[in-house]
Amino acid sequence: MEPNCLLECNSVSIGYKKRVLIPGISFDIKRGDFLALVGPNGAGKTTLIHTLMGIVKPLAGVVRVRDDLRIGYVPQRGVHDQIFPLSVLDVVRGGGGSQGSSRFSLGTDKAARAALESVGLAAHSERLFRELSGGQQQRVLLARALARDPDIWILDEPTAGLDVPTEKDLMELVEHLSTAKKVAVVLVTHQLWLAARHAKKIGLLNSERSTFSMDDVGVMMTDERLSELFGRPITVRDATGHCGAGISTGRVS
Amino acid sequence: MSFWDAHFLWLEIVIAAAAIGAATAAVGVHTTLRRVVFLPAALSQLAGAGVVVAFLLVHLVTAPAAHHDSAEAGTHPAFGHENSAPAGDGHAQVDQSDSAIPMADDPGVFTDDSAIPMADDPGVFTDDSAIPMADDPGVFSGEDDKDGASVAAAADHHGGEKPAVEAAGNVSGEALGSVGGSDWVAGHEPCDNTWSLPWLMALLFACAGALILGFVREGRQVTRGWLLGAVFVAASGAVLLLGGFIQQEMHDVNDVLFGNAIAISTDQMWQAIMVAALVLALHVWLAPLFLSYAFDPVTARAHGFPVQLLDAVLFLSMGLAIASGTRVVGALPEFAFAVFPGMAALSLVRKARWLMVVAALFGAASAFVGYWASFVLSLPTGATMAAAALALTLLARVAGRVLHRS
Repeated sequence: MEPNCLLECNSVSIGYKKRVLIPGISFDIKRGDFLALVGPNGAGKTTLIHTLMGIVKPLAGVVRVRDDLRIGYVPQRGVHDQIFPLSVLDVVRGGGGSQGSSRFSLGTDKAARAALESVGLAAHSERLFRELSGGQQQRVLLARALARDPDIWILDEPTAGLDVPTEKDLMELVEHLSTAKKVAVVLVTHQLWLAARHAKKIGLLNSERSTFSMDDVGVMMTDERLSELFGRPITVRDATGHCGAGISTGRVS
Repeated sequence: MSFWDAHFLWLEIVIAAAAIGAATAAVGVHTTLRRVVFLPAALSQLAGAGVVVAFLLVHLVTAPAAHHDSAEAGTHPAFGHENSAPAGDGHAQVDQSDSAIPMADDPGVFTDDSAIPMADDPGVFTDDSAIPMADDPGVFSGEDDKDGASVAAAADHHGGEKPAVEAAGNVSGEALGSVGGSDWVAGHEPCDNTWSLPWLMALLFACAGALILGFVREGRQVTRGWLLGAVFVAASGAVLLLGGFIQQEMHDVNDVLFGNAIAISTDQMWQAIMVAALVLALHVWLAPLFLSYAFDPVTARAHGFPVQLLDAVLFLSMGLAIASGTRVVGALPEFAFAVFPGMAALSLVRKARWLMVVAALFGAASAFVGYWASFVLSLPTGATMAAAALALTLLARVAGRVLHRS
């Protein structure tokens, strides 16, 4: 692995129970990268990130990670059972400790409060998580991932179900924090405009053709590629609200 | 005799029941949060199946003659040591004379050295003897089955009434076998099978079942609820079917399976306390982790928590607590301890760190209140413990609504 490389996929086949969804995935993630994974439902986006995190074993190939790599994961909203009477602070501490801490230890109060401060929820630390709004809950989950002082942030549809202003605020917060803390980001999303706006690279997962391709946003966000991916004519303007020229320059402002 | 005056009757069983109630309640918080409240029911039945299998194994490998001899000598081969149940014990009598009704004038049954205590034996009967009158319908009735064994059996028993041995002839064989003739009535130590093969097999089955049921993943057709139901039915059926092969031992099976809330030995009390202490210590130490990864298992795995190891510890502690609790108080109250206190704690508590503590207190309180109610109202102990757990939970729900509204 290169010194700057955090994670490397080498000819990885992803899938479940010997059923290969997509074979031959190869890419790497370096510090400061912002990668968006895009594809239709069932394309294998979640399977891919589970494979990156070591939850699902690759059916072939190798995922190499730096020895002391720390991943901060932000799951989809709504996967948490509301029966748990966990406070915001409990949830953030539940993400685990930072570098050097035991696998059996939760995060410290200090780190949790600092993370909550950075997402603007310090005043809510004693409230029950289940009583927060959807946007606030996502920010708490961001704080939980942040409190571990991660090298890579993996966000699985973090804005699903949020209204547009909340979605915008959340993604701006993600971009701000990832830049400030030099954290690499892997974003799974269905919202192409988010990918176009915030990511530097986009990976397209096509389960119909069992292909994975990744490149800079300007290269990947074309009418042809999107139409092929979703199996129907889709223009970049349809998908992102921006014309192709804006995207080709790199990131939409 | 008041409840408190009779403390020597109930102190050990209440301490054991409260300890195991507290441990089961702490475990029950997780079954409630994970929505697997039928897991304890399935585990208690699995523990029962383990007991029956143990007896069956012993039955198969032990020559009938040896078995008969050992029964006569008051030693059960399954326990591997002397059965401290008195010679007047129901099953011993059955083995000996083929009659479940020991006759007082039967020299083979009631000799001078008979384990049935004589009223004038100062070593057995105190002035406030707790020994019930055999002709007391509240004591020896056909309804006194094992699970429903009433503290009335211990409650009516006071005032220095002297036991009438000859009245034993009025006792039904079933009642004598289940209550009167077994562990308690003679004032002897109950059947001391503290670390016996049946007990260990119960533990093995419950813990193995907890691990398997805990780790199994739901499929498209098989839900966890269905699986728990299937295990419950299969284990219950196995107990009844296999029990048919070991009818003579079924009394002991019932003792281990449904507990003996009338009396337990001191060793059994310490065993229950040790198990409860171990389970509670584990949960005090690991509860924040258990809660965190149960709340979000995918993130816990992604963040490197040893989720499978923690799950194994959690489910083993469930098996341990439930097998022990089933033994001490019986299947019904044990299930109640696993279900109700957790819900009571969730109604009252808004901080996760207090969940286990409050649930454990409710579990212990349910055991005590249930036993007290059984004594005072002459009702079956297991049922009153379950009812107490339910009543306390309802109170907690009401209190929780009032507290959290304000």
